[in-house]
Amino acid sequence: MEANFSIPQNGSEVVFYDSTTSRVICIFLVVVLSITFLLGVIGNGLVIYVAGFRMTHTVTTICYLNLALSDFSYMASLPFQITSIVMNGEWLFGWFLCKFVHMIINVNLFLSIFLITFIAMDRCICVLHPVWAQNHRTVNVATKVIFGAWILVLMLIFPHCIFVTTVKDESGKVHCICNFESWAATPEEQVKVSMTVSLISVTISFIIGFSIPMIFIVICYGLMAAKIGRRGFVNSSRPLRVLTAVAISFFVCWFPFQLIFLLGNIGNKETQNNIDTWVNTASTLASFNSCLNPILYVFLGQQFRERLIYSLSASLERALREDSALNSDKTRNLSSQRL
Amino acid sequence: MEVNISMPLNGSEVVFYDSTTSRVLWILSLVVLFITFVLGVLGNGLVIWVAGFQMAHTVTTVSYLNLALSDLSFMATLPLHIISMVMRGKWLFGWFLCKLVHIIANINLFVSIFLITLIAMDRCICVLCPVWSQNHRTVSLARKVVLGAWIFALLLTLPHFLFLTTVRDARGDVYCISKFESWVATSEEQLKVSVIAATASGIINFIIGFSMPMSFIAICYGLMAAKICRRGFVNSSRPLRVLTAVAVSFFVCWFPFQLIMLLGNIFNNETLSIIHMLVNPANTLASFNSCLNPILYVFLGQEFRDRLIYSLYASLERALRED
Repeated sequence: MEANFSIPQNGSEVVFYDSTTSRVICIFLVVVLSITFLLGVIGNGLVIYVAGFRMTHTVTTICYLNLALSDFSYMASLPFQITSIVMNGEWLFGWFLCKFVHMIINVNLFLSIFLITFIAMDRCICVLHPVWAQNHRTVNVATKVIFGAWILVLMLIFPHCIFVTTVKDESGKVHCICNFESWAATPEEQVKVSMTVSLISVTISFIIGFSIPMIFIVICYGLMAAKIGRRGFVNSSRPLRVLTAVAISFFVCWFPFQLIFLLGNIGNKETQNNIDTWVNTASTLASFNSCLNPILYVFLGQQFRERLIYSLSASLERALREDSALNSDKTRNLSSQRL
Repeated sequence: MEVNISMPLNGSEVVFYDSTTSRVLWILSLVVLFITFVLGVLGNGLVIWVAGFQMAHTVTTVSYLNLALSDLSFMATLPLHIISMVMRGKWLFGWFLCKLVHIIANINLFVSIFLITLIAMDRCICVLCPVWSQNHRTVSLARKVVLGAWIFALLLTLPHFLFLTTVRDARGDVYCISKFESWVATSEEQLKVSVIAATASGIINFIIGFSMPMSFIAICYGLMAAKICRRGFVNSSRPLRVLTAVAVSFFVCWFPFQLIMLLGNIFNNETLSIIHMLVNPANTLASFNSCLNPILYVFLGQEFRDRLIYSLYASLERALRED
């Protein structure tokens, strides 16, 4: 959700972008987004390869495969966002990509949380009703539910796609923002429509895209905790640990963004100015979530961590050790002495 | 080596920094420098830990340990370089750090190439004169030679140290550049001294800091190739592979920078505009060399690559499997 509702103002824009703090933040965001892009493409690509082509299709692999597909498509849009940030909000890629990139961003937001909720509910059903799950929990049902999730997401982001378009400002630069000129006649009505749509969009995003799914997840965890004992829950199985890590990372990365957007549309103009500074930072943290899941999958395994650390140290030691040239000469000397 | 000798021009500066290509290169340089800093601190720290405390001290470990120390000290200065670059060349850290940071940058340049040359010559001696090296090649001797390399690098950096200082421009911004006001009286003489010092510095850096060591390394490789046959050379031992990777990466990373600095000091202002745009990317590539060595050490081992890939795959599969 990177909708830029504020109309660019020439004077304050120049002053704003020349400030040191703003520039440092901009540089930092570009750095973090670039790292996110690299890790996200590699990590999610690996997950897609393993879950999609190497492993047997199960309910779990299908869920994580779709999660990786969603994150990967978001990674594909990240270079455009980075370039736009570098160009101070200018958009070089035309009308179609303006709509398409924002659509992908919103798809990733909603689909990620829907899939995590579905995985949580699936695990809850396995714990509470193992017999029923064994009989009715199939890959076909999971495929249909996930397909429904995609459709629901597309429906939710449809209004946003209608309004986002390219707009040329006074200095001739093109920006990718919400525009309501074709929906209202006068500037006053445009402002009203803009505020109304913004409020509705943020409310839907916070309620349907964050709080309701999080409530579902918490309820599922409560039910599972009640079913399993406390000790059993702590020493739970690996699928539950993976899900826990993914859900917590989603909450940590997306909550600041959702909260800032909610406050930004509720508070007054004074709050609005402060929040503008934080929107990009929160958005970057939210983006980072898309490259975090593969890292979580891999590093949750104790065996991998220990093996990696040992391999690093051993490989480094082997590289720095003196080797065969002297040893081979010594060997020859020893051989000749024996003979 | 981040000498900013050109005086900031108000009008053209604004125009220059507003161009799109320049901005993109600038952003890209910053991103790469940041990644270099993270990888460099982790990698060189690991090398120092393994080579300095875990392994027995040999000629090889002493050499690579000093190389890592030099790279790590350069990494410590990198955040200041990054901030200065973000601030478009302004210097916030005062007179002392202005001198210290640039000294460390120059020392890293010279010590790196000297140590690589030393390792190459050491390996050459082992191959050509194994008996002599067995008798005379000792750790204490290696330490003395390495210490000599550090002292020599310090001596080469001394003139730079003398001239470098903080300068305040008309708008009150502070920069870290070479300044000759206290050495000559008039502006014309200042300009002459500036040009002469820049030319001499560029030539010294190119000859002593790059071409002569590279020539030595090439000669050593030629001698080793003559001694060993072609097949043996290709399937050479691990120390030679490590050295080859380090030397090649040094050449690839530093040659563009050295060439650009040399051309920038020789040719006129017409060429200078293009060269000026390329200085930051070339400098960034040169800085990247300091975090590359530990990665090369680790990934040269076939066993590590196989094990890493298998571990990644197995760990991912295990995480996604139902229990």
